[in-house]
Amino acid sequence: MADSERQGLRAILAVAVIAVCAAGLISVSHRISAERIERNVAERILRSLHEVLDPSLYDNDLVGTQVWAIDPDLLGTTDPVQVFLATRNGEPAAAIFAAVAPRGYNGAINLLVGVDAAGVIQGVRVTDHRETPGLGDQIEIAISDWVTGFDGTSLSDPPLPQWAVAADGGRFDAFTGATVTPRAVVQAVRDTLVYFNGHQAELFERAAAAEDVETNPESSGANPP
Amino acid sequence: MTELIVIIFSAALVNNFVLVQFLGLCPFLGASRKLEGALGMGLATGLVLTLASAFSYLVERFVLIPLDVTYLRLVSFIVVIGAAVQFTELVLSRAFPLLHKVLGIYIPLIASNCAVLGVALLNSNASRSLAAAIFYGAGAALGFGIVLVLLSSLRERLEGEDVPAPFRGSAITLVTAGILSLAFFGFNGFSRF
Amino acid sequence: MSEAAGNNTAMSGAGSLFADGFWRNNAAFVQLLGICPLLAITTTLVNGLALGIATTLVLIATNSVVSLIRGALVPSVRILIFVLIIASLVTTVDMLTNAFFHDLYRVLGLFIPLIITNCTILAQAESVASRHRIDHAALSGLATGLGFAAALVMLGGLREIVGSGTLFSGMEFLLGEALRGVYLNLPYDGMLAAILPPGAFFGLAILIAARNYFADRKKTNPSRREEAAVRP
Repeated sequence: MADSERQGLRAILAVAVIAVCAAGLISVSHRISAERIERNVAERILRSLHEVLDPSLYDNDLVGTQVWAIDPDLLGTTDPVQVFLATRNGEPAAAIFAAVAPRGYNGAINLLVGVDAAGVIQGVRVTDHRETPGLGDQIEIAISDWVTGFDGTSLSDPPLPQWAVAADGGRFDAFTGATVTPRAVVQAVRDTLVYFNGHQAELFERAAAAEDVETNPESSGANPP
Repeated sequence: MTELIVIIFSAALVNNFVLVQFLGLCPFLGASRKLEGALGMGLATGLVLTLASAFSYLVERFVLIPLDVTYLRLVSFIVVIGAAVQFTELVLSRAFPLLHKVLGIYIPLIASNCAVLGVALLNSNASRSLAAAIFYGAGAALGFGIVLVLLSSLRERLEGEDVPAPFRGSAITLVTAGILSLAFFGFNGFSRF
Repeated sequence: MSEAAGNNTAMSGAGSLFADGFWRNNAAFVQLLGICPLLAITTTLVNGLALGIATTLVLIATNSVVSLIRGALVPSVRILIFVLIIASLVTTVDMLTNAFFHDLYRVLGLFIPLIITNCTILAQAESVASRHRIDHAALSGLATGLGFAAALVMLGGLREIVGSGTLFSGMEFLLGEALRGVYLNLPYDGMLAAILPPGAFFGLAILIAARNYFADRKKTNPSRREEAAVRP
């Protein structure tokens, strides 16, 4: 009996020692890499934001100036949507929405939509999708430049009824064999513009308010609800 | 509710865990020789997958995040999965001894099924809610079970066939799985509704 | 798995140990272990190479650690101990890749953490590392890892050539920005099917069949047969 007890004790001790060593190893490598990972992520976000907004158009800390917007009808998801706000000399310059096109062929398509203060699209990029390779994946900039067709458009150019794919009587081309995917993206970009049109002032006010209380981040309005 | 049903449907068929996302292939190929075994493996995996999704959500939400040690996520998930496997075995042997007799030999194997860890990690990456996480796990398990049963039925039929010598064994099984995977492309587009 | 274990323990020379892990009991082609990442990330050669390197590193490290502590192992909880060791080493590799090869990390995604569930690693720890000296264990880990990496590279290369008509694309992920855009571009646009999931299954089936073909031919080769007959 004592022997098996000693065995059990040894087993527990062995596992405990290994677990402590494992946790130690992990926290050491966490120490080494955490800061760099954070920097990598911030750099990657900034790089993708610069795809949809020319860096010369703003002068604030873009990645640091975020608010969250909720509008299931216009932003395509019930979750809060991240909005990056760009200012120039303190004046609103542009906003970048991490919008969602909910009705892609294989589920939601994630977008970055850059709009300047005048409501003109500065750029659109697809950040994540599950569309059919070879058909719907032409929304990716790596595969075709279709998505650059949004550059310079706004709610008045083309006029609202023409914010649709050609098959629906609109001004945007669809791909052969895939109408659903471009339709979803066109709708999402249009809806984002509509949302921006209605909420521009409010978004920038919220960002400014969040900056004022930066010293006390707990009460910052920029946190997701 | 519709959202949850879409999650199940999408995880089970459209983005099938095994054939499209390539998770859980070892047991998929290893336990599909006979239909009976495939059924057992599918059921046992389903139980563990659903449980493990719930457990790992709880551990992350109530232990890792409050203590600010999310970098221990991998280690703690693997321990949680081991615990879920043990727990399933214990409950089955007490409450359903007959079922335990049939499924018993499959349960320990599930700990090394990468679909289980995969579901836990995907849930945590997508920061799903508890209900969504459980439904996602259940959907993944359903999809795993369906293709396991399909493949084992196909393999039983292949048994007497005259397969070219180099393809005998695992190669022809992989070809069969490839054709199944092609067939699952037919579900593309279903998750829109 | 148990058959492989028996073979491994019977091996003694470094050369035959290597041949065993690399060819005779190749984890991917013969034992069909760890094929989830093998099929999932091999859309290009570079992806395959990167995961191959990561897996090999984890294999060598776990085998060494397990071999070092083998005297203190408690049989009843040894699997738990192996898993803890593997999980902590994989977490380390995961974080370091994220920090120093960030773009690559984004491509390999889930499959770096999933190295934990690669059964090859646990099988090596159980059947080789816990019974042998550290040099033997590390070498076995190296051979098994290289065999797995070779499978990843071959399948990745095959699918990249057939699927996209390129080879070595994405080298910048591994070796730095200087190599961006340096890759072979074949005069052919590629057949999408090879990149899609079914292509992974068919590609691996073809590689396994090819390996079987060569292995069978060697077996029926007369000089080889004599050698086999002399052996007790």
